Amino acid sequence: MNFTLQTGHDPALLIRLEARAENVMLVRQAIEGAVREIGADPTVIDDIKLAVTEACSNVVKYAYDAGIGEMEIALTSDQSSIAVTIEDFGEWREHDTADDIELSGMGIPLMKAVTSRHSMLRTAGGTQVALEFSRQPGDAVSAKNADE
Amino acid sequence: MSSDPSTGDRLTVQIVINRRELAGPVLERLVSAAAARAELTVDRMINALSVVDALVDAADRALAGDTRCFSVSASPGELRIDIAGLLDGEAESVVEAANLPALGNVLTRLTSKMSISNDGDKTSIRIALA
Repeated sequence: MNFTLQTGHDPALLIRLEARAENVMLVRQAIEGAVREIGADPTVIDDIKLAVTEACSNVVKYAYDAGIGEMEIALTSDQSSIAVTIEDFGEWREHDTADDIELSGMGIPLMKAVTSRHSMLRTAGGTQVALEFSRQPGDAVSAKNADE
Repeated sequence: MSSDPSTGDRLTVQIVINRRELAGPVLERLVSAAAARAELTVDRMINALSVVDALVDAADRALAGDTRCFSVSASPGELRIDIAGLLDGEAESVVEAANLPALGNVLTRLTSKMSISNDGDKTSIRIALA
């Protein structure tokens, strides 16, 4: 299920700001503006907003136990897909395994449901969540089934 | 880039855009939110959005390439928009391109402050609305 985004070029949009609760909606609005302009299907736009909101919320909740840090959101697209990465530079609390997070709410199941592919990569320098969306809504399920 | 408590910033967002058509839709949303955090009056919020329109349009006409580097900051009573990473002469070209017939220069008329600064080989424009 893991994958690394192969952008091969600079992201169409890169946003960096503090990982605060009040900034999650701001990211959501900015990403919505970008994907509307790109011409994504309305259903896909809703999926992207949902998944990006969940991923950014996880950064706010889990990445910076000791205080406030930053998050970076990058958007890339091609003719068949739109990809968004959400990266933090913190250290997720040791007990915060993906299973713990999954049990705490609907965030990760929702992200799984609306993306064609997704991954979470944790390193000493932070965590990167990569979300990929098929540009046509029906393609998400078939792409996911092909992966599995 | 972080919000700096010593300056009282409530928000600082750094944005890099590599597809110029995204600048308008992204910037207008971020500036709307930042203007609200800065608690600008409704008239100044509308001015801020007019400045965004003018800045994006002027940048499209004055700059080659698709890359735009913006920063949007809000502190109590003030909103700042920076366009950074410009080459020598580009900042002046952007400001010049914001001249509208019969209206004058949107970037200077609607803002509280506008300045061009040079940092080595890069230039930036800072716009403030209070």
